[in-house]
Amino acid sequence: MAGTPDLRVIPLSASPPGAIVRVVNIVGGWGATRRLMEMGVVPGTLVRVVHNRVGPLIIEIRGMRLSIGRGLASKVLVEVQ
Amino acid sequence: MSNLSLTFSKDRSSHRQRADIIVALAGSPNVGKSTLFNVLTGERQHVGNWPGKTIDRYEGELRYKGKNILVVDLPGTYSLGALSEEEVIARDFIVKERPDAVIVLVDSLEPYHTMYLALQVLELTNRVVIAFNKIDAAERRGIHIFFERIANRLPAPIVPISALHSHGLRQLLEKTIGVAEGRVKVKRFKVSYGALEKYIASVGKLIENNGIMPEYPSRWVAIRLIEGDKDLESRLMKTVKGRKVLEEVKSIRDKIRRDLGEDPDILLISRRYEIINNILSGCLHRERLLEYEFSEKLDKLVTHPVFGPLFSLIITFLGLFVIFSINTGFPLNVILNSLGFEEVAGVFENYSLAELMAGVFDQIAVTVEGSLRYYLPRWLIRLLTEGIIRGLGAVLSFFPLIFLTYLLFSFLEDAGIMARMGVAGDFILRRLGLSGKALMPLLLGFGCNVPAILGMRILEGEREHTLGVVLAPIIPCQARLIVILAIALAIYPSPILQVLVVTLLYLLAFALLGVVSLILRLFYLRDFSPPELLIELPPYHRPSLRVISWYAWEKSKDFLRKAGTVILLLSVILWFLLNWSSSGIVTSVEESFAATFAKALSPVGSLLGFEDWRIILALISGIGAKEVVLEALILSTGTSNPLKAIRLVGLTQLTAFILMLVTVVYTPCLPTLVSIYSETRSTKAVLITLIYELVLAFMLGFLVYKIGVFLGL
Repeated sequence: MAGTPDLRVIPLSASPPGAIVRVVNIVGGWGATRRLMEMGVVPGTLVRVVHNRVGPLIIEIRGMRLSIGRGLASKVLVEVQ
Repeated sequence: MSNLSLTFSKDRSSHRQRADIIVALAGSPNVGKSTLFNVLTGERQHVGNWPGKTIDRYEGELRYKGKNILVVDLPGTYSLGALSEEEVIARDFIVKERPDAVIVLVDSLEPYHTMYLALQVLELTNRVVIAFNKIDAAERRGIHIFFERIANRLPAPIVPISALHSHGLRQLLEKTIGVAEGRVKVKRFKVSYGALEKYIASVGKLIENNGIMPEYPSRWVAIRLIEGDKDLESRLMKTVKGRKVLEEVKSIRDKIRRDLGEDPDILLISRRYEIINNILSGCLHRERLLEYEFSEKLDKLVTHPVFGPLFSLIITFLGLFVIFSINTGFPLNVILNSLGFEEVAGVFENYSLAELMAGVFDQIAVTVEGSLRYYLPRWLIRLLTEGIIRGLGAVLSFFPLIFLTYLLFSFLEDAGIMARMGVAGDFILRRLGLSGKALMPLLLGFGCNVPAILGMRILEGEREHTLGVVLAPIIPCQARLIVILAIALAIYPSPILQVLVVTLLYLLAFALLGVVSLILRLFYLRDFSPPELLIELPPYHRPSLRVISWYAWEKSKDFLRKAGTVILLLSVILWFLLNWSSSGIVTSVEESFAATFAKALSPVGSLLGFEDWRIILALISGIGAKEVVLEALILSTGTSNPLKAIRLVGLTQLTAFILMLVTVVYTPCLPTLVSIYSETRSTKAVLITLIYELVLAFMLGFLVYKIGVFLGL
């Protein structure tokens, strides 16, 4: 992910509900982020933010609905489409 | 079903020997794996544990075309990446026990994500059959899958099935037996990792040259090590050679990071999804249906941080209300009574399951006594009837309670509601150091702590599980509610005061939950923070009654088998303490060991304001089961009515409150303690629970007494 920082890149946790975003990168390695990737949240994937309020987010990715903790969602960097 | 063997471990080898074919069942959570296992094996199943683990192991048998097939249900996992114990179990089974075939279930509603596990199994073995489950549900939801195209892109046979409606099972079995017997040839699926291949090759060579883990395919080990596999790494750390290899692998990982500008695990996982994408591209046709929008709106409500927990609370309490009314008549009898339907209330009381079972056991006791009284000494008769038979009755009366709670639990889980409850509870429970998944088990604790402790299994990771199990006994269960209600009714004159006192005690219990969690995390589970929530929200659907009742039945049987004997043994010991003195069996509890002990503890009791030793005796008796506190008061005061008995032991409004407080907080009952052990296999966890509850009960009681006296109450 070298190059100039893209201003449109935000953490998933800051994405508004209803937005469709593309995963750019996942920071942090072992554990929950790894599991997130194994469930299909890998760079390049399109994610729809279903709900985003206090507590965990609800996202949808290729027909699968997932709920992810806010802390975890802040480690997923996305680009608003 | 009742003739199922209770000594599973002894029998396992004989099942093995009888089996012509051993088939493993793999699949992600929510793909319908339990349903398939259940329809395949019917009632010939055995539940046990994986060696040295607390994770359930299900095995079942079936006969097909003259062949005995043993089906082993692997734990449901999204991957074989060793992120959890379940994943290690699943892949070790495939590698070490070498099943003749592995059926991997893929969810037709979510093929993209559930194919990930299939791909990983294909990397590990070539004896694979892939079953696309829920094809009927997929059609209904407007998802059409072109199976022939997928089959052309994968080496393994693809079988579309609906486990729920038993569609496609014959074909699945044919293909599975074909693979197992080698008639259906499956080529090893080689995932091509592109730019990573040269690194995989060099790690592979490293592994082969050093003879590392020869039981696994070397390419697989190489890929796993590059990805960073904690399980394999810890195995390497055990030998000098292994540590050297690991060092080299780490430098190769760094090289990948430098050369390709990305972490190797991201590259590998992304590549697998790219391949799944290629396999599935052009094979799926999806129409968006209205139902979808509705479920999103429902999700919004059910997972809401305020309405969500409220919804969970209502559902759980309704469930518990029904369960307990069936089981003991309470609280329905109280409600009916207060509405003026005394007769109906009486019917519910007398024909509740607990009452019926108590009747049966009383009858057995009377029969035993009648037929043996001339042959056996009196003490032996009493040991048999009061100690063993009544103890057995008490243990068995847990069965309907556990069964019905599991039924509720698995209904909510299967319907997709449980996952949403977890999301809703996450915001609050995070403050207790637990993830939202603990909400439902904790709520069950208001009914009975035992199912609450058993339910904590849905928590991931050993530490969170231990925390959940150790915290659960603070929730005041129904038995404790009965005791504190009786004390409140007996001592406090105004109904407003009665309600106020009981509510106060519940609020206090919630506060304690927070305090104890904090203390535990400071001193016992150090540096523990609750894992981030990551949970799939499966589509809502109507559960199969057959599957959930099977599950509830197996689980309750498993509980009785694991805990029943110990609970019985301990309750016989307690009976002995309550009915014996140094000069033999006694007729009145006042002469027993327990009474002597209670009298000796009188000075401690007076620190809490209890002047009558019978209060302490009642608390000791309550260790067996909390509701026995009342029974012991009745017995030792010689009255017939619990309210009268409570009024006879010299309680003031202050000391009555302290007694209620102590009843709520002090030692968990024997079945709860035994469950803590059977779920954690840790004596330490049991002791910690026991000690913190006793210490808290004493300290709080003492504090309230001193403050009360100071205020002149």
